[in-house]
Amino acid sequence: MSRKAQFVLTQEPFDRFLARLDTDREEAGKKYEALRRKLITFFRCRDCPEAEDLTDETIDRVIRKQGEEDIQEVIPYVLAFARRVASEAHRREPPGPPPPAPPPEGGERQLQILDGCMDLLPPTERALILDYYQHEKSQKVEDKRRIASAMGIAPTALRVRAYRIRRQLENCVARKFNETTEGR
Amino acid sequence: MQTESESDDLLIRYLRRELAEAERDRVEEMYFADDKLHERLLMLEDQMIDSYVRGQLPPDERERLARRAQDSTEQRRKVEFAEALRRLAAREASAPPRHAWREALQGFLLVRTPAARMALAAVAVVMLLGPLIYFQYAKRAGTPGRQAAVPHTQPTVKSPAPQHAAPILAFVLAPIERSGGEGNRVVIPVGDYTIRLQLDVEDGKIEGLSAAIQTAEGVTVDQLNGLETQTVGPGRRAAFLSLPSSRLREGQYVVRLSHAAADGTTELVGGYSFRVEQGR
Repeated sequence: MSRKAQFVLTQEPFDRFLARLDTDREEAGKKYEALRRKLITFFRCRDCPEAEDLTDETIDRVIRKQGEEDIQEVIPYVLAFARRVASEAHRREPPGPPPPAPPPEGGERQLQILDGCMDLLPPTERALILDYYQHEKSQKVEDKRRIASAMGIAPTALRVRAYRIRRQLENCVARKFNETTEGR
Repeated sequence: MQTESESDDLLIRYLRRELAEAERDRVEEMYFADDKLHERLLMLEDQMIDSYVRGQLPPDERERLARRAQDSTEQRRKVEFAEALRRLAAREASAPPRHAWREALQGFLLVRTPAARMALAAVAVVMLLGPLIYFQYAKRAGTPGRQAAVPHTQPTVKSPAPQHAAPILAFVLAPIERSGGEGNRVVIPVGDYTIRLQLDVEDGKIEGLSAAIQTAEGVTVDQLNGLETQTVGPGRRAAFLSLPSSRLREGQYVVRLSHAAADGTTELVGGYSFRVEQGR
């Protein structure tokens, strides 16, 4: 069950939290998003069942703590708090029998949605990501070298580029998947 | 200081949940402090999940990841996404090869309405018969046939127009249906020119034409609105675009000619493509 509803935040404490991340509002927004992504990774790698919900819970609770505690370094503080939230989550929901597997249509829907998201990419990025992942049997270095060479970039740069396109696609799929699920 | 492979090894062990608590905490502190390291961690996680969906992980590791995917919504989504990407890439691999610029063209010229499809078909027919009709018409009228009336052509160099200092290079473009986007070459010699493109249009759709010129990557190099059409043969009209040669670098371009319909929607009238090559 989502725990998000338990926390109601107003704009002012949230703005103060952003200001702690950076004095420039735009930079603060970027740092906030980066922090959020790291928290999701953290909870996922701690095998917490609902990483996104726990991320929101952590941020909400840290924001509330701003008035009570003198927070010097915000990032280490958030990480320390996340560890506490992870422990609580494991105590709350100890590992039990696995939940039922997702319905088989989930994979098909993902594929359809991904197809749609692919069409939103600029053609060169679409070609790059498909070429990059077409060599599925071989994570062969020479395949990647060939693609990188054709694009006139270093293999490392290709890897980063493919990763960033993949992330865009993943976000697009997640967004559309949620939209279609909520629309049902 | 760690090398990249040492750092990768540590991150992989973190992802496999193989680290002792103190080491795990250290890795967390490292990536919370370093955006690039976090990005690297996610890249390695992607690779691990890709190996999983391809059946390339050792059995014990595979089992652990499968369990995590069952227990965690986010992990499950990542696995499903990787599987969808694998299937899509495999599907594309078995399809006929495509070029990025051609995909750009197809997307750019995507015709969604029957009316627009008919318009495109009409343009194709006109362009197929156009040069023949035009030469007949020009012959009867006593005017010399222009070299530029032949698609896939060398340019016609005209004397400078009054409003332009640069000489004009004129080209006629065959529509995409006819040339497949590969035939039209626009060879621009070294120097500054005004490039004049002739695009035949279906008779009747003569007002409110807009043309967008884009690179294969989708970058718009020019957008012209309110284009006038001129008679270029019996029952044939054409739109003419002019732009400085400095706007066109070597590469593939597409032109989308559209028309504002009465209901306010935009209807595709014709699609053209051409490749710019640098002449001597």
